[in-house]
Amino acid sequence: MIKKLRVDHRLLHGQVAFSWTQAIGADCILIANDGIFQDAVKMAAIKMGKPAGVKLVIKTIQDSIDAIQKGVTEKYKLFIVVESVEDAISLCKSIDYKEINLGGTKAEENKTQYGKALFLTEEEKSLIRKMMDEGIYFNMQMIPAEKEVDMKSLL
Amino acid sequence: MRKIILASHGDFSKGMLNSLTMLVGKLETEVDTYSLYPGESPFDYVNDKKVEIEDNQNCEYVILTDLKGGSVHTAMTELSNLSNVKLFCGMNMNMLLSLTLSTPNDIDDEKAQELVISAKEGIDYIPHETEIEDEDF
Repeated sequence: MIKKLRVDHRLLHGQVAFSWTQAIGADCILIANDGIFQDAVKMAAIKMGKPAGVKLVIKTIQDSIDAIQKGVTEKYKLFIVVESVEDAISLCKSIDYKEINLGGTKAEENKTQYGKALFLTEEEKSLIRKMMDEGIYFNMQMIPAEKEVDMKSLL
Repeated sequence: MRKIILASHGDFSKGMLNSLTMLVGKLETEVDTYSLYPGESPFDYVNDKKVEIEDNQNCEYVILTDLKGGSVHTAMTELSNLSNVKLFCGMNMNMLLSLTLSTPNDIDDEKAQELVISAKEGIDYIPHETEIEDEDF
């Protein structure tokens, strides 16, 4: 069962490994990301950040979709973390899950800031609006103690 | 109810609280810090706290100190005889996160040991070219 799908450019870090995993009661974290397979150091660092008592699986976006479609993830309380809005949408389109948590994206020029940690390009904004119309719910929440904000109220 | 006290030489305790807030946000549990600065005596703090703690028997006071054998910890051990005080030393983020996120009130000896184990698990050396096995579903 998927407990959460989160966009976080830092992938697995303190807020994710400790606060979120604990708060949603996840027993398995899936890092769905293509770029990480080209970056051995980042891969090793992420594996080391695994919280105790939780399974950590790292797969490409396509392999993640395949695993979820096959049903092998069903027995887990799964917490999926992706790097970008685009990746989250690719996943949502192929699996039966309609909620995306926007946790944090990198600050860059030409991006609009929302809250403390979310930065979106114009393309991402229109993509999110389009997916909202198709029934996907987007919320912004960095840590569990914060209030969840419906992105509809911001975009 | 529970109160947490982070106690250290200098600003370590304040920094711990700052980092904790970044990770988990503002907690319902009250977290206080004590910082010892040159020229001060930690016993002044301990004596003040002792009165408060004795007056609040229903509150569990969990005290984390920075350094076993240091003056802050040594002073705090005076409080450890009080039944509603749980005292730990060698605090680190793992200890504090385990305490705030997954340790219910009324810590007994067993839970206290679990906290210490989780703190130690967070300490490690990372050798060059570490290979960690892949996990799959």
